This record gives sequence, C-alpha cells and structure tokens, in this order.
Amino acid sequence: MVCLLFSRGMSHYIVLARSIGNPRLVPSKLISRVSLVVLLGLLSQPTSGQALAANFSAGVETINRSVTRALFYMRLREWPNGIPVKVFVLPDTHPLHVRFCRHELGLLPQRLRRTWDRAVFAGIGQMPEQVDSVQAMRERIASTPGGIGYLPEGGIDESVQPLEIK
Amino acid sequence: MSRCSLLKLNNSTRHVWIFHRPVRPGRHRPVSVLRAMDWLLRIALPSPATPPVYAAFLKSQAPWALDRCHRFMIAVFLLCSAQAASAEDWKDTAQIHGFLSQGYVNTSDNRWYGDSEEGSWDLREIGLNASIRPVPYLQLSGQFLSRTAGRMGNGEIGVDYALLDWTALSNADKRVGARLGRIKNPLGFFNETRDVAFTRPGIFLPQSVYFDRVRDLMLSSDGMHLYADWRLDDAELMLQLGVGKPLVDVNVEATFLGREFQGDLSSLGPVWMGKLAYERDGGRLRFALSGVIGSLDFQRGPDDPPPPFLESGDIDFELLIASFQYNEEVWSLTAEFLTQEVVWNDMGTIYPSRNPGQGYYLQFDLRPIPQWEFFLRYGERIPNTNDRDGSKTEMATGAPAHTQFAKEWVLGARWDPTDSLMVRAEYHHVDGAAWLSNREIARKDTERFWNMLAILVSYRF
Repeated sequence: MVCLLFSRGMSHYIVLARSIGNPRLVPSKLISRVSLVVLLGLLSQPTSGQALAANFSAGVETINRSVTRALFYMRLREWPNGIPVKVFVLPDTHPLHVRFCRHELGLLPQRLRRTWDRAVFAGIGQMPEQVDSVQAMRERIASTPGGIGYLPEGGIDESVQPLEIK
Repeated sequence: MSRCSLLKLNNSTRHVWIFHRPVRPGRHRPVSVLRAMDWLLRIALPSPATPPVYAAFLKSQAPWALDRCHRFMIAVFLLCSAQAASAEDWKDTAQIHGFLSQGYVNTSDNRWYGDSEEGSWDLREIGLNASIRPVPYLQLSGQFLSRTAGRMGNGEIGVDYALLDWTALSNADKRVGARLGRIKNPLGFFNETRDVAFTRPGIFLPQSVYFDRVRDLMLSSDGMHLYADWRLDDAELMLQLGVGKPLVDVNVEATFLGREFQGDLSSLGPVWMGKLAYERDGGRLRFALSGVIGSLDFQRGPDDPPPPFLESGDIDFELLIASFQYNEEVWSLTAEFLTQEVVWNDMGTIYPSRNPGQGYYLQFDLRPIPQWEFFLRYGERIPNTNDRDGSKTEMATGAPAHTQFAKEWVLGARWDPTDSLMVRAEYHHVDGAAWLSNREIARKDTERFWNMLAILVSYRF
C-alpha cells in the first residue's frame, strides 16, 4: 500500500516538476527506480520466520490462534490427551521472541510478560520456562513431554513436531 | 433411585476394573464417582495401565465399603502415591518468585506515605511467593508480603494469598474451576496484584478508584471463588464469582468510622464479589465489570461517645468498577470508573445514613522506544456525590470542604533497564485531599492544592 502511494506520489512529482520546466527538479529515471527499490527494501516486512513446535507426546499437529494464545498465556495446562503442557520461551528481548509475540500472538513481549505477572503474583498461574538460546529451546521441546515453544522456520527438525496455526 | 444405590455393586459386578467396568445389559451406565476416579488416575499415571494395587484392593472389599466417599478418598490417596512414585515430575513444577520495591515520596504539603513534606522513604514492598502443580489441574500457591506505607502499612509480614486452584474442566474452548483459601479480590484491572510494583500503571495505583485507605478490605478475602473462561473465535470471556471473609484492619476503621474508636469493627457475614471480563484479539481490547458487596459490624466500646452520637450498628458497602483498555503496539488507553455506596445503619447521629461515592481515571500510555514508557493520567474521586464540593460536610462537621474531593493530573515515566529491574518516576498535581488517610494527617491540617514527586525502584525474580 505504501509502495503504491510512493510510486503514485513520485509520478505526480515528476509530472509537476516537468511542468515547472526546471530540469534540475526532475529526478532521472534511474533515481526514481533506485529510490523505489530502496523503499521496497526498507518497507518489506520480514517473512514471519518462526513456527510453533511441540513435543511429539502432545499429540497435535494443528492448532488455532485462540488455543495458541491460551497456551502462551499459561491458561491451558494440558493437551487433549491429558499430558501436562510445558511452555518454553526465549528472553523478552530475543528477536525471535519479539517476532513470535507480534505475529502469532499479536502483542508486544511486555504485554505478554504483564499477563504472566498478573497471574503469577495473584497465585493463579505460573511462569513459562525461559531458555537462553534457540538451540536450548529445540532441545527442551524435544526432550520434555508436553513441551511447546517456537523456533525459526528453518530450525525445525525431526526431533520436534511443527504445529500449523489455522 | 438414589445415586448411592446406582453405585452399589451386586454380586455380578463385584469385581471392578478401573478401565473396564462391566455394565449390565439394559442399564444406563451412570455418571459415577468411579468414572471420575478413572479420569483422575488416567491423568495421573503415565500410561493407561490398570493399577494392580487398586484392583486388588477392590477385589478384597465387600460392596458396602465401596460407597461414594470411600472411593473418592481412595482415588485421591492413590493419585498422591502415584505422583510420589514419579517425584521428579511434580517437583519440577515448583516455582519461587519475589520482588523488592523501594520508593521515595516528596510532597509540597500534606502527608502521604509518611512524612512526605520532608521526603519520605516509607514506601517499601517485599514479597516472596511459591507455587507448585502436583497435577496439571491443581495449583497450590502462597505469598508472603511486607508493605511499608507510611502510617497505612507498618511493614509487618503477612500472608498475602494462600490458595488451592482446582481446574475442573479444561479444553480448547473453555476452562472451569474453583479456588479455595485466601484469594485476591478480582476487582478492576489491577487489584489482584496491587502490591506488585511492575504490574501497576504507576508508582501508586490510581487512588480515585483503588484508594489505599481501604486496601485491606478490597485486597483479599478468605473463602472460595468459582471461575470460568470461554474461548471464542478471537476473544475470551472470563467470569469469576467469589464469597469470603474480608480482612478488616485499622485503615478500614479509620475510613468507615472516620477515626479509631475503642469499639470493634469486624466483618459481618460473607463478602460477595464477581468479575466479568472480555478480551478481544489477545488483549488489544479489554473490558471488565467487577463488584463487591459486604457488611461490617460495629460494637461500641465503653469509652466511646455515648448514644445517640455513636451506637453499635452495621455498615453495608457496595462497590462496582467498570474497566476499559485499548492497547496498540506503541500506545494504550485505560479508563476505569468506580461507583460505591456506603450505608451506616443505626450507627448514631454522627454518621450520615448513606454516602454514594464515585471515582474514575483516564490514562494514556506511550511506548516510543524499547524499555521506556510514559504516561499521562487524570483522575477524580468524590466520596459523596451528594456533596461534590464538600460544603455540606464542612457545615456539618467542620472538616475542610476539600477533603471531600480529589482531582489529579499525573505525568510519569518508566524505564526497564533489564528484565528484572524497573525504575519509575512521576509527578502529581492534586486538587483536594479525599484520598489522604486521616491516620497520616488530620483532616483539618490538609492543604487543598498539593504536588508530589515520587520515585520507585523495583527488582523482581
């Protein structure tokens, strides 16, 4: 949308500049194209780049968004087959955690942290387990029954079950 | 036919196998305690194996012993033993968290959290909590809290909450359960964690709604709560209903009675509370409606003013809070509105019959850069809407009119240098003394216009 507006704006500017008659005002075609490419580069959102992953004992392959939220808000504590849920997260400032919160949960890490705090410090919930790195995340999900977390898209291997969000 | 008779076993079904219970043809299989135990044990044990100990026990018992209560107790006992056998699993669920906050308050006039005109360090909160989940549907938690708040809190260590949370039903669509013990009252957005600095929207909770003067009455109660969450497409609906015995302390006396008397103020009957909350889009939009109804009983002491001035009677109180919050990535808007009613019954001539009160605040939060937050808030508190400017109270009791209202503007900032540390600073400009405690400063000594600078550092783990 922004690129469309930019290119339209650019073309309007070129027409206006030409009508004024000062050749120095009119950007060359090369400059127009380069600026558009640069703008596209700046504006292009990274692909979502992360995926949910769970331990095979959880027994699920697809999940919907409201259940994803319930899991990461620590409100849903067991899988349909009765295995207890064990949630793993990265530190609040880790880029993968930030991307996951934004794209899959639709909120900032601080808001997720406050949701956990409201439950933990009222005695009605617990914190998820924090791991330090993506490698540790993969190992813990793979080795913990009922474990769930998130990994980079390219970081899913056979040791964990990828979960598709419907 | 009673449930007990349905559960009694005749000779043909004497041998009961937990997972293969025979049903006589033509009979509808009852929803029985055995099936409940079935469910409990299936969750408790790692594999769906018939526990041989239980089967052998049942075989040895006569049918009369296998009544409902015995079966339930046996199931609970076996559950605990089964968990003990795999002790590592449930011990891994133990968590300990805590926090330590220290603040500094400086006011231009009046006393708030200690001798604030000279600069007060009497703002300290220390908490330590623990929780464990022996099975996925049970959580046991407790928290100790020490709070220093000028003359409103002396830093004594007390049990903030201690409860058992049982989730009776949990699936993708809903969750239903109950809590038992000392439970924080679910009022507004912030009451449940009001002593936890990093969950508050400022150094102090907005006093127009969460007035610290009656903190203990609002904070928690000993009783039982039921809760239910429904997960809709992109939203969640949460209901909590509770009944309990509130905590009544000297601050509550000072607020409801105006001062401390020799007589005794205690809770009269249970306090009922409820909260209905709606969250959309993961909390982008949040609504809540919460309330509490209760009564206090007052018994006049022999040295107190005599009748007809002061008599033994009771006080009824009702609070209702409507809450709204909208969160975008970079900014948020929060608004809460309180309406309350306090009725003094047969308490004597020094008390009005009823005081309908109101309070509200509106807060705008901005998060322009990571680790930093700024906010602007406006709040108003009117303890008695029949006397908004306080003139009637001044004529009747001589207390200054400005003790009957408080309007404030607050500007604040929050910095989180690390995940565990928070630093806050805020500046208040207040018109009115309604939320000052008369344990800290006598009403006649209060100033109408006053400012406050407060700083807080908080560490959590």
